Amino acid sequence: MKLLLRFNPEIIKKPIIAETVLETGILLDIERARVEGPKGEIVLNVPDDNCRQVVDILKRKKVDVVRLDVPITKDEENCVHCGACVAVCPVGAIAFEYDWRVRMDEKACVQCGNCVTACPVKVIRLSDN
Amino acid sequence: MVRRTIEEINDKIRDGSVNVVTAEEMTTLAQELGVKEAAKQVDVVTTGTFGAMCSSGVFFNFGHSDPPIKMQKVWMNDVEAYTGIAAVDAYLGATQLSETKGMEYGGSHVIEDLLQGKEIWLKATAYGTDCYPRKRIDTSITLDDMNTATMVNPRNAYQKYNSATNCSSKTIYTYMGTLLPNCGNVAYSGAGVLSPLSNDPGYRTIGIGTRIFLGGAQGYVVSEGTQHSPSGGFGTLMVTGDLKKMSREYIRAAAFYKYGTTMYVGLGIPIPILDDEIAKATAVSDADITTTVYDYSTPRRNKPALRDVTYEELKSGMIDLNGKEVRTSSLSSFYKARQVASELKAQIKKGKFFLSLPAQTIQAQGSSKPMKQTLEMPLIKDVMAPVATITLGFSVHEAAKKIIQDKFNHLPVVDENSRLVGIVTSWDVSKALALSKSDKLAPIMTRNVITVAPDDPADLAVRLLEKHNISALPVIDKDKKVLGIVTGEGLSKLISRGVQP
Ligand code: SF4
Ligand code: SF4
Repeated sequence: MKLLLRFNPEIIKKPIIAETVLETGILLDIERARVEGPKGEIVLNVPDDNCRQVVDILKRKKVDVVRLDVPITKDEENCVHCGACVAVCPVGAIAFEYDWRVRMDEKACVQCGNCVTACPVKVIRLSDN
Repeated sequence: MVRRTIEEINDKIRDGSVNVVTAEEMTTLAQELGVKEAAKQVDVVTTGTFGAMCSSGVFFNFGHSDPPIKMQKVWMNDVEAYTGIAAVDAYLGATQLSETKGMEYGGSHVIEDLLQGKEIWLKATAYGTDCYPRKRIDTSITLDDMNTATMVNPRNAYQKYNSATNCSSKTIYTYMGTLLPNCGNVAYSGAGVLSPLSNDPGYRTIGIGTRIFLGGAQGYVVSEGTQHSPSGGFGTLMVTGDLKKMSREYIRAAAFYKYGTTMYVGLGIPIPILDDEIAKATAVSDADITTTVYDYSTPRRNKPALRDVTYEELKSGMIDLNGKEVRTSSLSSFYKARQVASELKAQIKKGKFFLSLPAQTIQAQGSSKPMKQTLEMPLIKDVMAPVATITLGFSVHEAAKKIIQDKFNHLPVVDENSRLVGIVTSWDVSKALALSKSDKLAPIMTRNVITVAPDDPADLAVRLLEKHNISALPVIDKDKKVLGIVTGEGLSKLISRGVQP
C-alpha cells in the first residue's frame, strides 16, 4: 500500500519516519520525497499487513496521511498514445503495448510527476485523495 | 513490369475490385513475395502519420456584422488570430497562445473546441471607416456559424524528424517534449514506415493537388511545405482541408510543458502503385529510415550530433548512447498513424475516396537555407568581464578580502588545477561572516554553477540569467578553466549603449 504523507511546518524537522521505523520495527520504503518551502511530502510503500499500524502512529505524530489506492490515473478515452510519457518515467511504469497503445502500470508508479507534465494532451493525473 | 494509370485504379475503386494495403502491410508483402509480385497484387498503398505539427491553422470567415466591421485585431477565446486580410477573415495559428491562460491554451485548443461543437468567444477591434463604421464586436459563435473554416497547414507531414536528447545536467522542456538530464531519454517523432513522404521520396505521386486524408476529411496538397528540404530527407507539405468536415479523432490540441501549444494532426496519403519503382519505394521499412540524435541542450541552430539511428532502433524502446542504454519514446502516435492508414484504406475500399494525379510536381531535391543575419551576433567573449577566482582551500575571510579588493560581487571557486568547482557571492560571504559560520568556503558555495562558453551567443546569457534567476555566469573553456564572467549588469550596460561588438 502506498501512503502519501504531508508534513506541516511544525513537524517537518522531526525525524518522524525514523521514529516510526524504530517504534514498529517495520521497514518503510520511501519512494518519493519533496520539500517545498515550509512543507514536505513523502510517498511511502508499506507492507499491506502493517498498514493500519503505521497509519495510526503517523497520525498520532500529526502527519496528514492519505492512502494512495491508485497513485496515478490516465484518461484512456482521450489519450492519443503518443508516447511522450513513456521514456520520462524513471521506474518504467509506462510502456507501449504490442499494438503501440500506451499502457500505464499504476502500481509501479512512484508519483514523480514526470509524465503529468510530459503529456501534451493533459490526460494524466496524480491522485492525492 | 507493372503499369497502371490513376484512371484504372479509380475504375477499380468504383467497381469495388481495388486492392489496398497499408504501408506496413506492403513492407511485409514485399519482403515475402518480392517487390515485383507485390506490385502486381497491390493497387494502392495507404500511409499515415499523427504527430505534433506546429505549422497548422485555420482561415475563418465569420460573416458580416451590422453595422459592419473591418476587423483589425481579432481574438478567439482570447487567442489572437491574424487579420491583415479582408474585413471578416482571420487566420488562427495552432501555436498562438491565449492572452489570459498562457501556455495551457492556444490556437489549437480553440480549433479543438470548435470541432467539439463548443461556443467560442469572438472579440474584434477596428479603427472604423465610412464603409465599416463599427469599432468593436463581442459575440459567441460555433463552427456552424462560420461561413468557411479552411484549414491551411503551411508545413505538415515531415518525411522524418530529428531525435532529441539532453546531455546537460538539468531537465529541459522543448518542442521534443521533456528531456531528462544526462541523456536520460531520447525523444523522436514521425511515423517511420508509415510516413507518407518516406513512401514516395521521389514525389512521383505526391504533388500539388494530390487528394489526401486530413483530420478525418478529404483534403489536398497545396504545395511543398515551408522549409521543404527534401535532399536531406526533410521534405514537408503544405496542405488544406475543410475543418467543418474534420473530426476530433484526428485533430487534437496539445501543449508541451514550458514550450507552448501545438496541434496533433492526422494526415494520410494514398500512393497509387503505378509501376515497380513506386512499389519499391512503398516497401521501405523502419530499418531503412535513418535519422540523427542531437543534443538539444545546446540552444543553437547547429546542435551536436551524437549518432545516426534508424526508426527500427528507436522503436525498439532502447538505444545505445556513448555506451549507455537510453530509453526512447515517440512524441507522435504510431497507434493513431496506423488508424489513419487503416481508415484511409477502408474509405478507398468502400469507394468513398478516389485518387488524383498531381496537377504539378513538387521538387524532390534541394534544401532550406539558414537565416541571413546582417547584424553580427555578439558572443559571450565580446561581453564578458575579467574576474578574480579563489582556490577552494582558502577561507571565507580571504574571500571577503578578495571581494573588497577586486570589487567583484561574484567569486568563482576553483580547485588546485584551476578548474571551476563552485561560486560564492558577496552575499554568501557576508552572511557567513555575520553568522560566524564555518571558516571554510566549501559549505557556503554553490556547486551547481550555470556557466557559458566564450563562443556562445550573448542572448543565451540573458536567457540563462532570467531562467535561473541569477546575476552572473562564469565563462569557462573546455577544461573548466575560468576565462571571465558575464553579469546581468554588464549585459544591460551593453544593451543600453546599443553596442554591437
Ligand atoms: S508519475 Fe508518471 S513518470 Fe512518475 S513514476 Fe508515476 S507513472 Fe512514472
Ligand atoms: S503522453 Fe499523454 S497522450 Fe501521450 S501516451 Fe502518454 S498519456 Fe497518452
